[in-house]
Amino acid sequence: MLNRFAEWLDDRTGYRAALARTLDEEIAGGARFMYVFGNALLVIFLCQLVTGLLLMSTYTPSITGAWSSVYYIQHQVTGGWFVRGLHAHGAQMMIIVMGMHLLQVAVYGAYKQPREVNWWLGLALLGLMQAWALTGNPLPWDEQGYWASKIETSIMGSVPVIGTALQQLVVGGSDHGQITLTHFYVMHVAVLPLAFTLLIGGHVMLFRRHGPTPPHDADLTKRSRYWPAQAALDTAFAVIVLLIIAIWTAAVGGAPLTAPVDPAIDYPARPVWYFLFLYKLRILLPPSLEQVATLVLPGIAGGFLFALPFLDHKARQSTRQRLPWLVPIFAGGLGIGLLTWVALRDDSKDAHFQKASKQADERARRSVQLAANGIPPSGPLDMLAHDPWSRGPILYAEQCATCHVLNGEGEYNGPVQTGFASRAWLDGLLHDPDDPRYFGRTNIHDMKAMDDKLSADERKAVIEFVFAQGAEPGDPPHDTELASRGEPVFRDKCMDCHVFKGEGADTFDGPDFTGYGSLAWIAKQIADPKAIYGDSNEMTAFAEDLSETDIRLLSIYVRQQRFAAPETGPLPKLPPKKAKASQKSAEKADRDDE
Amino acid sequence: MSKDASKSRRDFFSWVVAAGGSAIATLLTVPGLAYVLDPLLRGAGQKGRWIRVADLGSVSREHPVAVPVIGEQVDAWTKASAVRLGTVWLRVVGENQVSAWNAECPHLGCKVSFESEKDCFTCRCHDSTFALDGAVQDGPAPRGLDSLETRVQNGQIEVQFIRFRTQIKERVQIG
Repeated sequence: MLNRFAEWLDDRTGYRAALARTLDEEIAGGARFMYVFGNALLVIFLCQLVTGLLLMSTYTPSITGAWSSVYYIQHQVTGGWFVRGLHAHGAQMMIIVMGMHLLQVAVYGAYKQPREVNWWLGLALLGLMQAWALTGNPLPWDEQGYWASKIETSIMGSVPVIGTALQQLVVGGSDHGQITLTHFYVMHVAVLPLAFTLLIGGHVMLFRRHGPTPPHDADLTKRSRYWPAQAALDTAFAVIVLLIIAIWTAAVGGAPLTAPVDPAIDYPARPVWYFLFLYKLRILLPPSLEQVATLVLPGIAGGFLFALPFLDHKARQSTRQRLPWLVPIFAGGLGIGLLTWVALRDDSKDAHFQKASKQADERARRSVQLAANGIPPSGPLDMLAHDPWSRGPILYAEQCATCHVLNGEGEYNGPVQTGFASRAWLDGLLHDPDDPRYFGRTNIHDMKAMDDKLSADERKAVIEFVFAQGAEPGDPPHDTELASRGEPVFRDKCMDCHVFKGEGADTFDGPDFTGYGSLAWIAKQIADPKAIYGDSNEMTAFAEDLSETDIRLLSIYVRQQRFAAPETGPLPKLPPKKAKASQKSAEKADRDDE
Repeated sequence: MSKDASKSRRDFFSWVVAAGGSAIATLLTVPGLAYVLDPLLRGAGQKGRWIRVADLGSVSREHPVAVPVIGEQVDAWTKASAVRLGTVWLRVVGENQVSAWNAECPHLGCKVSFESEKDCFTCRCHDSTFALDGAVQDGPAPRGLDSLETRVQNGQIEVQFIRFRTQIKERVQIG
C-alpha cells in the first residue's frame, strides 16, 4: 500500500531521482569527519528558523512592549524559556561552528581555485551571521541589548566618510528609539534571513559543483558517496551540537533577560562574548588608536581572508608548505581566544564591574518579580517608576547620597541612614549624638549624650516609644506596653528640647518627634526639612525638585531601614567638615549655575 | 570487505541518520508544540465579576440603554485598570430592578443595536432580531440575547459581566 503510494508519488514528482541526486554525491577520497561542519551549520540554521518563527508569534517590536513580551516568553509561555534559549544559544553556536568550518576550509586549502567564489560566499555568510546576531541581541530592549547595540552603532558611525549617514540610517534618526528597534527587527526577521537563505543556496550549489576538497595527501582512488557514511557522520555531529545547545539552555534556564532599559541608569555594558576581543583590544590600545581595534584590524583581517585564494594559489601543496598562509589565521584565532580570556578574567577581578553587574542582576530580578502581577500599558519602565524598591535606590543615589550614607554608599555629611530609626540606631543616637554617623558632621550639637540621664529600663522604654512613632499598618508588631511606659520618660527627659504632638520645647530647639520615622514624617523631612529641624536645618528641601510620588517612594525605601541593622565598625577617613556658610553658598552657587 | 560486512555497515549508518534525525526533530517539536499550544494549556480568560456600569437614574423603563462596561483587563503581559471590555443593554423592569443583556450577538459576536421604530434589538451583521425581553425573533441567532445578573447598590447599577460562547443554543460561559 505504502509502496504503491510511493510509486504513484514518484511518477508524479520524480522525487526518487531528486533524492538520489542529493544523496549520491561522490566524495573523492572518502567520507571524513572534517567535512561535518557545513551541514551542522545548515541544521542549526533550520533550528534558528523554527525557533525564530515561534518567538515571532509572541514578540512585540515596540519599546514599551518588547521587554514585556520577552518576559512573557521567558516566564509565562509554556516551553517559552526553552525555545528562546535554543534560539539564543543556537546563534552563538552557529558562530562557533562557523569558526570551525572556516578553520577546516583554510587548513585543507579549500579556498583555492576553482572554489574562490564559494570561499567568498562563506565569508559573506560569516559577516551576515554577525549582523544577524547583532540585530537580534537588542530586540528584548533590555539593558544588555540596548547598550551593546548603542555602542555597536556608534562604532558604525566612526567609519570614515559614510559613518555618520550609515549610523543615522540604521538607527532611524539621531538617537536610539522606536524606529531603531523596528529597524533591528525587520533586519533580523526578514532582510537577513532572506539574504542568508540566498547565500546559503549559492554556497551549497557551488559546493555541489566542485565537491569537498580532500587533504593534499588523500588517496583519491578511494571513492565513496555521500549516502550513507558521510550522512551518518554529519548527523552524529549535528546531534552533538544540538545537544550542547539544549544542555546549555537547560543549564542557564533559557537565555538571560536583563532589566528593561532606562538610559539614565548606569549599566556595566559589555559586547556579546564573541566581540569581547575587540573590546579588550580597544582598551589595551591607546585611545588615539581606538579605530585600529574597531575598524582597521577587522578590515585587515577581512581583506586578508578575502585575498587568501590569490595569495595561496599553488595547487596541491602540503600543509607544511602552506604554513605562511595558515599561521596568520591561527595566530588571529589564538589572539581572539586570548583577548577574550583576558577580558573575562579582568572583569571577574574588577570589583567595580562586579558590583555594577550585581546591581543590574538585582534590577532584572525585581523587574521580573513585578511583571508577574501584570505590566501597565505604559510599559515596564513605568512599572518600575512606581516601585519603591526600584525607584527608591535610584532616587537615593541621585539625591541623598551626597550627604547621607546608606548601605556603605554615600558621604558622611549628615546622619547615616543605614538602619535609620531602628531601635539600635536610636540607641546609638542616645549614646553619642555627636558621633559622625549621627549629627557630628552637621551644625546640630545641642543634644547631650543621654547615657547618664536614663536608667537601662527607661532607655529601653523611650527607644520603644520613639520606634513606635514610625509604625505603619502591616509592620511586624512592636512592644506597645513598653512603648507606653516610654512616653512619660520621653515627656520628662526629652521634651525640654523636643516637641511631641504640639507640646514640649517652647522655643524651637530640636526636631518634632510626632510620628518620627513614619512615612509622613520622612516625606515631610525630605520635602521640607526646615519644618522639622527649624533654623538649625542644613538639608536641602526637595519639595520642588522631586514629585510627590518620588518623595513617597523614597520615604518607603528609607523607612524600611527601621528593620535593618545600623552601620558599625571603624569609620573611613573622613574629609574635613564643610563649614555651614560655605556649604550653603556652594549649594546656592550650584543652583545659580543651573 | 565482505558483502555482508559492507551491508551491515550501511545499515548502521542509515540507522544513525534515522535516529539522529528523529532526535533533532523531537528536540524542536516537543517545545515547539508546547509553545504553539500555550493558549490552550493556559485555559480561558477572566471569570465574570461585578462591574458598576450606570446610575439607576440614567436608565429608562421605556427603552433599553447601551452602556460601556469598563473594568480591569489582563491581556497577555499587560494589566490595565480601566479598559472598555464590552457593552451591555440595560432596561428598568421594576422597582430597583434592571434587566441587562450582553450586547454581543449570540450568533457570531457582532454588536447588537436597538431599533426604536420596530421596538426590537437587531444585529446588523446577519439580520438577527431580538424582542424587548431578549428572545430571538428572526434571523440566524441560535439563542436569545445573553441576559446578565444585575444588582442595584446605592443607586448604582452593577452587572455581573460574563461573556458567552457564540454559535450554540446553550449558554456556555467563557472563562
